[in-house]
Amino acid sequence: MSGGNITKPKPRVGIYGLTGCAGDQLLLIHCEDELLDIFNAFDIRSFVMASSNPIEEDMDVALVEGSVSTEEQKKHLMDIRKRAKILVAIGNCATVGGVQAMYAQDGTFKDRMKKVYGDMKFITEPMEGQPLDAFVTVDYYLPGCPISAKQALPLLSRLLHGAPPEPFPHPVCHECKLQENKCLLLDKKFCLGPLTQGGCGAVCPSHGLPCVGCWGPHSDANFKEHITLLESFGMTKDEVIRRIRNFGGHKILAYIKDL
Amino acid sequence: MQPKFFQEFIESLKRFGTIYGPVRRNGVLKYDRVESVDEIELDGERPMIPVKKLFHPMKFNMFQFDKDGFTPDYSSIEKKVIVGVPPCEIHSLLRLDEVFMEQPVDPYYAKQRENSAIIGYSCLPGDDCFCKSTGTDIVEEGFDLFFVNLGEFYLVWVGSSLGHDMVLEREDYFDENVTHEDIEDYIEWRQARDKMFKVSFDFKSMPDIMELSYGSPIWDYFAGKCLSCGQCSMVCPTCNCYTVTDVLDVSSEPEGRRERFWDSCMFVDYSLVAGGHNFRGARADRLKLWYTHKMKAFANEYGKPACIGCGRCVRTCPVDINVLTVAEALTKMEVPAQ
Repeated sequence: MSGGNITKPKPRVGIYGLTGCAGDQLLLIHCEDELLDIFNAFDIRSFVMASSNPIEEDMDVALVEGSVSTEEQKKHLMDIRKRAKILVAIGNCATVGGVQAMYAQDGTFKDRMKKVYGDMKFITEPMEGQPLDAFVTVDYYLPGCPISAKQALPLLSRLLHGAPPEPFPHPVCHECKLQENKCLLLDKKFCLGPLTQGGCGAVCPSHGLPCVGCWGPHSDANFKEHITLLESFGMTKDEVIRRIRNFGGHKILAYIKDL
Repeated sequence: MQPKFFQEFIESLKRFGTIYGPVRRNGVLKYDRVESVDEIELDGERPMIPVKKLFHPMKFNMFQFDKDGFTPDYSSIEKKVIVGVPPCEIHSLLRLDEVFMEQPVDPYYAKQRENSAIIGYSCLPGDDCFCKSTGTDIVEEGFDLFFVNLGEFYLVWVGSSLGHDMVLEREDYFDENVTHEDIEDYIEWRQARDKMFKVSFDFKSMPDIMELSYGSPIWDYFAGKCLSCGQCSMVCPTCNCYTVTDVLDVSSEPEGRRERFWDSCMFVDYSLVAGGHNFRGARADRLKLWYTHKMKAFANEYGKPACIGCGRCVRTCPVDINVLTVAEALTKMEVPAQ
């Protein structure tokens, strides 16, 4: 019930996918209990995973999944940015570059491309996968591989009411301890929890599996000390760095450049 | 009380509330709802997350709100009988009372406290326990009943009228005649226990050392090591900071709920204020806050320091930053040997 208030127009939303597995878009569709609420509260104009009749006009909020991996995607992203008041990067590929950027800036992109595709001609020029903010201003980040409903829905509802979404700059360890898990590091087992942005609910450690870093690098992490700790468990530094880079994309480079 | 009566007696306490105690879940010892009395583990390992979680829940909804106002959510509050709380953790609850029961009273904590009975249980020090140093190895208050396991029998202290009512429930199990021999057994037990402590530190000097070491390079050394994982705060029985967030419903109406969950001053946004200033952006400042508050500032405010000597920080920190290593480094003014 609107209670006699002036009914505000529903925010117009576009949901887009660049290079990624489309898992983040799929997660939104999988929010079955909230799906009707989402469609009631928002005017979803473009979401090709849900409807093949997109309306491409100006919008209030754009949710963009995937890394920018071709020239065409770069143009598409810039067009979305022009039309959207608020742009949210959703998922690991859009926020840091994704697993396709695990060798980011190591200079081997062209060789790897040739090894996999040979001398193929492309309809649009491929480029090394990059996060959205390499090309446009991103207003909010929703990390994850895929994103979680527990973070996505509060972000959407905040935007709905014109409130800024709340960041959660805590490592995975925070939620891990709230699940009463024994710390894997105490058993000298590999885990990237302290280096990884939290918000996943510590799903992997709650099942006895190490955190592999899929929410992307945690900006406050102590990379130097954690690498030293993992080395003391018998891993080589190269091995640790390789694991950190799996989901670290381009963003990890700034954190490990002096190590 | 004879040990053979123990389980049956605990079973009889169901009349006073749902039984909670240390039970093993997925291999981890946790304070949790007891399904069957024989699963309670009392002698040995201590639960990783302290008993504070039953009074100051890790995560809960404080209230629902809409455009007309808010409705408090007290649904997590139930009558509880908490079995197996050791002396140090009983002390920790008394410290938390200072924080949460002072005006303005935290209604969530207060209601949990009012609705819970504490059945204390003696323990023998583990490798990392130092409650003797912090003066929290014995209790005089803060329990309804307290069981001292003397092997052949339990010495049972009655700490409240509720505790007395509990005894009356199974009066036959208790023998009121304490012989001179019983007293000697108890004293011997205490002397033997006192000799079992493997670690100790000069707790009484810590407030002064903290004050004088404020600018010490020791803090930078520990800051270089700290992973800022926040585990120390989660496992510390007296850490009580929490954060709140308003979770709006996906609806055009302004309605939703306020969530409250444990926070830690080890996290980077803990001292971040509106406008973007961060009072403790540097890791060294966060560590200094944690230890100064625990061993000095809490005492200034409430008369006693907040460390209760349970050793959880010693067992938990992956990079060996804990009350003992910090106290030793500050006392000797040198960093620990690698």
